[in-house]
Amino acid sequence: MLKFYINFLIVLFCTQIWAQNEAVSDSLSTEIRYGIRLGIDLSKPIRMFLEPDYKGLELVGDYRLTRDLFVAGELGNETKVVNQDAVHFKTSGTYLKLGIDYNVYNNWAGMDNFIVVGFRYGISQHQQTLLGYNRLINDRYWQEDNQVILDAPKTYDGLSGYWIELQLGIKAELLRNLYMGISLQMHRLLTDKDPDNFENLFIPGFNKVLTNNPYGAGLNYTISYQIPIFKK
Amino acid sequence: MKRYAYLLLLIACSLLGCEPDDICLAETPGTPQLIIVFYDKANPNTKKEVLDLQVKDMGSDALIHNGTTDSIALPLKTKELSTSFFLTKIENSVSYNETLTLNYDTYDSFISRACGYKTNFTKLVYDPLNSASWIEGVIIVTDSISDIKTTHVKILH
Repeated sequence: MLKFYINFLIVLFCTQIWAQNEAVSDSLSTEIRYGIRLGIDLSKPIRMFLEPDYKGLELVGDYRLTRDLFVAGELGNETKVVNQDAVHFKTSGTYLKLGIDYNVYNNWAGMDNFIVVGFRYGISQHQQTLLGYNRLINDRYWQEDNQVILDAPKTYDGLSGYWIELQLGIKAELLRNLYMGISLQMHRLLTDKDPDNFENLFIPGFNKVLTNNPYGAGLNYTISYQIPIFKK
Repeated sequence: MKRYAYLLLLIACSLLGCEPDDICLAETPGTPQLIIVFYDKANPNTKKEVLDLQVKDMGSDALIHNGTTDSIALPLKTKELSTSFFLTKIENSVSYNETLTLNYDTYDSFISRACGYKTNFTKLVYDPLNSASWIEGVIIVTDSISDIKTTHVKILH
């Protein structure tokens, strides 16, 4: 028990030292830190926990060009099984989004928080496997079971999707160089390579694809660390 | 900052709320029926009505069609490659029966997420009629069936 108290006191003591250090450096710093910021999207593991038929990983990164302008991108991999409506399929693949982030928030001196408007071009390379489907039979005289389960699922390889994306988000510096952010994404599909006699119904990085509607939506919730390179 | 957060939340909710196309509309054309049109055996280019025509499955009482007509739409089985119909014509209170058996191949084509697939039929042929009761001839107009816009089979009587 005594050990616990001692440890606790040490932690408190150290915290105070860090806090003071930070306060000192903050009050002096009006310079902007440049560096590569790398992070991970936490919404994917949360979604994996909530949706049993989903697997995903997304790494995010950006590099500061000027005070408010960044080159930014996301690299990810997603697998999703859908068994609803009239189709049962599995999509898996990798995606890359590249573009820019622009900060529209005016920081107080020494602070580094962001309200970000971002623009991306997204590419996905994926495959889709058809596991089963329903047949649409308007005349049900024979009362046949219209459900088809494929004993040999059909896999369509070499599929792709291309889209543009508008992102709106906020990013806050929690600790020095450690950021947490949330962003909403609205995407518009430009083109996609569909499987024969089937369609891309889910595109990694893009999310659900609607029929006759090129728009989609997504979000991410990131924690990232900035590797400082220089200050200006 | 707080204002922006609310705005983002609002946009998020409105985006996640839109999923308008997950309904298969009732009028969506699905698996096509076989369109049969009846013609006059004496004049094969003229349609001729069949009096009190009844069409059903041989072993069933449920009718697919009942009444005087010059054309019928018959559902083909999708899990089997052959379907038989029992066609009865009632003329002057006398029943004339005929069995029409059709054989074919099938393939399924994609419609949409909500509607699934529909079955199309190809290589349509018919078994020779075993009782020359009232049907004089069967002409396959088109052996592949993927919609119900045209006549697939002509029956002369």
